[in-house]
Amino acid sequence: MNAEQLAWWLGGATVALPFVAVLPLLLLGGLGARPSERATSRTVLVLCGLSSLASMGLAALWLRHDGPLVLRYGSIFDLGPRGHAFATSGHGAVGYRFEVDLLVDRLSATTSVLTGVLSWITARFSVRYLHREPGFFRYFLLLALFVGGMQVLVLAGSYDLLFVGWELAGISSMLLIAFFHLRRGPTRAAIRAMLTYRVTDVGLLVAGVLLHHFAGSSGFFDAFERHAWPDAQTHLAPSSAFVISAAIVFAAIGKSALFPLGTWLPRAMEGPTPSSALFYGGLAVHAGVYLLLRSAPLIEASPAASLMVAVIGAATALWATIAGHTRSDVKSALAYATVTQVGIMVLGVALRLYNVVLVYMVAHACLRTLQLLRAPSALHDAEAIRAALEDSSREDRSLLERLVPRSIVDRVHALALEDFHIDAVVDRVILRPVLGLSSALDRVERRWVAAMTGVDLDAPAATESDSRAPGPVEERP
Amino acid sequence: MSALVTLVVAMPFLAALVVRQWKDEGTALTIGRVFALGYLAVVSVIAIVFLRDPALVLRHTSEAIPGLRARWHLELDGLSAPFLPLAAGIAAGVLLAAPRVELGKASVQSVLVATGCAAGVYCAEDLLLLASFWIAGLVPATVALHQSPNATVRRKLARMYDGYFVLGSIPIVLAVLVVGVSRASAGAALPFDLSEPTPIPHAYGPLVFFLISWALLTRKAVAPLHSWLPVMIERGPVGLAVLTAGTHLAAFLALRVLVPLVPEASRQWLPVLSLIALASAVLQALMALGQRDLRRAVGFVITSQLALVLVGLGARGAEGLHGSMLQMLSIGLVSLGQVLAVAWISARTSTTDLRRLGGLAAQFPKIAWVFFLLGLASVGAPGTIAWVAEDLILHALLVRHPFVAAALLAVTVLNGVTILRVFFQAFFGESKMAIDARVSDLRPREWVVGYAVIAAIAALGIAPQALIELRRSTVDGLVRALSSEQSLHSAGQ
Repeated sequence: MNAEQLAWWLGGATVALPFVAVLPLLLLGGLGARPSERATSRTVLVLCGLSSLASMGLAALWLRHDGPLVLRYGSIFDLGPRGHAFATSGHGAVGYRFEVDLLVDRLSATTSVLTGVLSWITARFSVRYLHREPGFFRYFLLLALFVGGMQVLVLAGSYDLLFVGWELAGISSMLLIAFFHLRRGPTRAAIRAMLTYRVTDVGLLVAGVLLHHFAGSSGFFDAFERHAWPDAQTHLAPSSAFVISAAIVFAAIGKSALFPLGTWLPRAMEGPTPSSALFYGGLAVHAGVYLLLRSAPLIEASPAASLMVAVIGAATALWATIAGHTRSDVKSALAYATVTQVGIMVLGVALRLYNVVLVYMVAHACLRTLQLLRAPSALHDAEAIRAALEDSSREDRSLLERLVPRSIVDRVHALALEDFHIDAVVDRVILRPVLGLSSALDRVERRWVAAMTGVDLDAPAATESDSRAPGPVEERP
Repeated sequence: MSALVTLVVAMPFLAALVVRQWKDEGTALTIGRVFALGYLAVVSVIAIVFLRDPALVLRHTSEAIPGLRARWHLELDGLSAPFLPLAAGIAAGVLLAAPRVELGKASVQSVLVATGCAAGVYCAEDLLLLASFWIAGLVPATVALHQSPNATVRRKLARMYDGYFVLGSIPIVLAVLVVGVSRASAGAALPFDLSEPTPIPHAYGPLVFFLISWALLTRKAVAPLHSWLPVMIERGPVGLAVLTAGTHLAAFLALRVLVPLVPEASRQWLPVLSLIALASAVLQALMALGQRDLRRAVGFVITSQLALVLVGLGARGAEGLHGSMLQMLSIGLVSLGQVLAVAWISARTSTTDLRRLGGLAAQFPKIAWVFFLLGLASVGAPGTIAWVAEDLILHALLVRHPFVAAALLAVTVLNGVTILRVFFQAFFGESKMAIDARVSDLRPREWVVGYAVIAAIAALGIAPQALIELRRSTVDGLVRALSSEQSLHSAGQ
């Protein structure tokens, strides 16, 4: 077996092994069976551990290889030249096929190893943290799904495949926010995250299709002139590059909680602490940064896109750092601190500091995961530090607070407590009008049906089957 | 071998006759179930044979009726073969897993008859025969609504259904007459036969297109002709609601009849039809968004997605056509699963009002799993057939029709938000009602149907290539008909 064949197997193992853990757990979950904690956690730990080792092996092979590795696993579907001949006209694109290619280069190899290691450590930590938790089984199932999704995301060789990982990571993230699903708070937070993801994910889908159209392929290696990251480049016109970049930035805004749609992240801390650490300290929150790094040639090709990324990054960092100062619970404060750093990374992408951002991302992911895992002990830690310093009365004021008049600081903090009314504005400008339109249309529809049939659809939806049902429920007082 | 096609169409009707002989409702249901499973097995084997040999065509014809010049002409090809397991699967799924109260003897019979009519539409190659099956397929639902015992709401809704029934049937009858008369006057030996080489005189093309489009827009529940379907899903019989929505007879009519018969008018007007469908999809997605009733929300989402099938057809490219055909299978399977899941909830809680539901996952985790996985399938999550379909349709539209693509994306986002929101509201959060602990989660047969649907959606999503190959020649023919001046009145040939 030569090095390329070995890389093919290792790449496949890195991506596939977490899903190998997901499938039996999903089947058992559907059956209503609940394996023991030990069986569940060992299945996930062993398979994710092996996946992590495979990612390290893959990275080692890449280091010895001259240039990026493109691993091809066939296609999911292929319309081929026959179908395509009639499908498009004159764009010079080859027939549309969805190829399953993995790309191993500096960016993906580093992030894949980071994903494997952080996931495994968090999974190991979770075994004790979630001991005897009713959702133990569900947690590990979703964790394995997330690891698989993230490995697809970071190793994907095209936007099409990256979207698959992006969605899987989003689904597991949304369900883990609602992990304590019988409480109202986590459910609401999950709905908010779901709304943000659902809307912004469209950007990535659009970007893939547009790149396929303009560059003839949505594969990174082919579309970016077959150069290794970060020296990849594109010869797209600035206008085309801007449109695709805008779609990509829109997707990144949702996943990395950038301004102005980042308010879901602090709420997402309703989930279990280990998943918060892994998702919103370590990996998922950096997926947007990864996407921007991967799309760097496109952003670089359009000065307007670079400016847009810089503005969003700076605005995110500013908003999150001020808002973070007003939070009294440790997980929220850490969430805003994370967003602040992510904003700075985005700014770094706009300034073309790709290698710096990559190192920054890895270091930040590790630090923040550790901080969030330690968050339940934060009070104890703070007491210990103060006791050691023998200074419990020290006033902790930032430089900004010392330089700016108190009244202005208070006003800014009051606004920050309300997240600068971002949610209220989004609700007023988008959600309420859309829901209002929905209600109005529904009223018209109900009246139309009532006029035709005399049936009031507002009445309880008791069907024939309902009326014969034994009545197993009673309203809670 | 050729008589096999007739047998495939006749089997459900024969089964309905057998069921009719039994007075005992339980036995009638058992017979219906056994038959439905057997029928599913038979048509699945046929579909697999077609997958291995996409060029295969099974044909059964009789002598033409003197004077009328119509004949019994059934044909099974790469286009129709995958639809038969879909209709059979829906029938089997409903008969196995719908709440018992929905499965009286009359309901079993009507499901079987509707399945037979759907098979007839898929296989008919004579326009008169096809129209007969098309109209007959509407009868079981109207009978079921009119004869619903102790259900005044359904009987009232029957009035509306009858209105749309007539509205959708008259145009197809007129279209058949126009095609028959015009082709007969042009010297056609078999004017109603779809394989007849004589084209429709040029002047009649737009009229035929308009009439058939009217019929299919009504059947596809495209606004403003849509009101009957969401209500049917909300308050109507479960089996017939799913069969009506999931068998895609209207889109099939467009592929089998509309484009091959009037290619020039289709070239000109199909995009307009698609735009109407797109506007309808947006409207219904908006209506679904604010619903407070789970059943009604699902009804509007399904109706909205049905309209998207026509949007893909209007793209007129191979990608759009392949995408639409995959979307049809996806919607059929997802509709079956979602309508059943809602019926399971309704049977266990006596309500589908989201203001009263909440926290169901604690007592019904299996239903929660099934509903969530079906929700993912319906919103086009990766690994599902809807994902492949939406990707193809988006590829067909985004560059050449960016505004249409934007509206399409808006619809998928809205529908996704609706489905996931109702899932969270019904299954998560605080429980608002005390449900008797004796009320069980999914029974084995319900579980089997739920997971079979999910498995089919995933299998087709991961490996859709066989279906694409099966329909490649049909799609290429349709694309040629829609893109060239040459009149190819039988694209499937």
